[in-house]
Amino acid sequence: MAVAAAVVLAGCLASGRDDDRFHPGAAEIGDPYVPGAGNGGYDVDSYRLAVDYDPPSDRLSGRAVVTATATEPLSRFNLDLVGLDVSTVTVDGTRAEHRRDGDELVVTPGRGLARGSRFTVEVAYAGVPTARPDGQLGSGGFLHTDDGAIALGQPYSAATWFPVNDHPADKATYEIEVTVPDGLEALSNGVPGERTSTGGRTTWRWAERTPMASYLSTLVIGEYRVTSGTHAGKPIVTAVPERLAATGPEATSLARTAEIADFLAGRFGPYPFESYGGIVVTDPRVGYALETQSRPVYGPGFFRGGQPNPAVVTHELAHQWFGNSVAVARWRDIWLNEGFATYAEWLWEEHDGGRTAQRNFELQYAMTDWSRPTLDPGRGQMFGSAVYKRGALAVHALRRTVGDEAFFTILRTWTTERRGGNATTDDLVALAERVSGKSLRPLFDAWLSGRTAPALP
Amino acid sequence: MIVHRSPPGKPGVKNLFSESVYERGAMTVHALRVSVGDKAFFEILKTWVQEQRNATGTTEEFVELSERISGKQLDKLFDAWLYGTKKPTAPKPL
Repeated sequence: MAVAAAVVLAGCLASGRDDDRFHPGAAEIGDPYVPGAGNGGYDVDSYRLAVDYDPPSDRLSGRAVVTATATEPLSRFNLDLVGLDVSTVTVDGTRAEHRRDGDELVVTPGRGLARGSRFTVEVAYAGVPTARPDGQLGSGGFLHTDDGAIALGQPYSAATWFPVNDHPADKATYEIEVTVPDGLEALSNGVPGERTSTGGRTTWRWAERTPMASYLSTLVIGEYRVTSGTHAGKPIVTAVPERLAATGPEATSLARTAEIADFLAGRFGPYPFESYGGIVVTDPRVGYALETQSRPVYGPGFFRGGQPNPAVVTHELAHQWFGNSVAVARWRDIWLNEGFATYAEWLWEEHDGGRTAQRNFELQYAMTDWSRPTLDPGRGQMFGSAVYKRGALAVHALRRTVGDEAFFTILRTWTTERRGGNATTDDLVALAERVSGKSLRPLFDAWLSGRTAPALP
Repeated sequence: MIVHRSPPGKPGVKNLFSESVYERGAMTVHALRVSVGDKAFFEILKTWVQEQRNATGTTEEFVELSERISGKQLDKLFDAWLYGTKKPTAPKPL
């Protein structure tokens, strides 16, 4: 009895539930930066998506096969889905009840799902996908363009085109089939598969077999000039809008993808994915570049100077290690993505004959507003300079403190041990202390959270 | 992600209140001051708020006034600081 009571108590503490009976999974994952996003009670293993998009009507119809493992005994569970009409849902091949509740799709299978059981949900849906407005960043989500569409956005966008556990804590593999009218290109993440054409429509196939956070998925449809090749034995696929010159700054920037990825691999360890690439879009609503997995998407703003922009390519490629392969578990740690990607720009600039990382550090140190924290910056400052620039300062402060050898060992150990997973700031501090043999908590506290300029290491 | 920071002279709706409008806008003001000297600079500011008082003002009107008071050609300066996508050269003091 005593043992049983202890087990029940442990279960209660772990899940916050009163017992092991079937109960509804949580409607959100519980990240205060993205209220409502993600869900509880299961962990997705894979998404198999087949979507058909018709640019003239803006209509998308899709079938999503989501394979997941129950982490609690579930009587029902939620997926995130913005807009779109769901026609049928099955769980393990049997029709399941479903209803919509705002941006949630609530699924009640005919029988409960035991903790630890693997189950497959199939959702058939259709409609005109919508953007997800975000005041600071412009529109994220599904954008209809002149010649097609772009599905893109951080911290979330996936739920505007498929049912998903839309939070980076639940990574999964993806197989994506996109059917569009002949003559249009349909690009997505990962390794390109067979392309087939029938009845005036072409199906493009993509597979991302390394675990991916949902916000790193993308779909870009339109008239693109696609360049395919192989780099280091892996496919490399880049795409630039057809209307842009083949020798313009967009194409010449993307053409440096392999070279820059190799440079970063020399600092961070082996490239973590099965393919390389990049996509440039011209839609002015995309006022940013995003590190979509294995194939970043670059908005038009970065090329308006008429010159190639290797810095933005470096930043987004650095995320393939920092942010994508090793992803945040909660958005409060977003500096783990942006601080390192910004630091990678400094490393590239030094390598390219520009300012040294040390010089960039000194200049940035002098102009930093220390009242804004890097760790846990608040939802409104997720993309603020405290996360990017002060984050990069913290990385360089670590380097100065532990020395180059320990520093690059820390980076490579981080990308190796955490590869394909999620991590927190505490994990990084623990690793840095283990590798360097130094007590580093005060250093990280000062550079990430202190309210005054830290002493130079 | 990197958010593209557009130039302050044409920020677009999304970047209306961006760092560029504020910080690079202030740098533009100072670049004007260095270029025309303190005397002309403060004359420009005082004339601007007097002449446009209770009305509205455009960037073009401000450039025109600055040229009128300073007697200098300033369109290249404003173009570089407000619309350029590359780092402008530091203005030469009078």
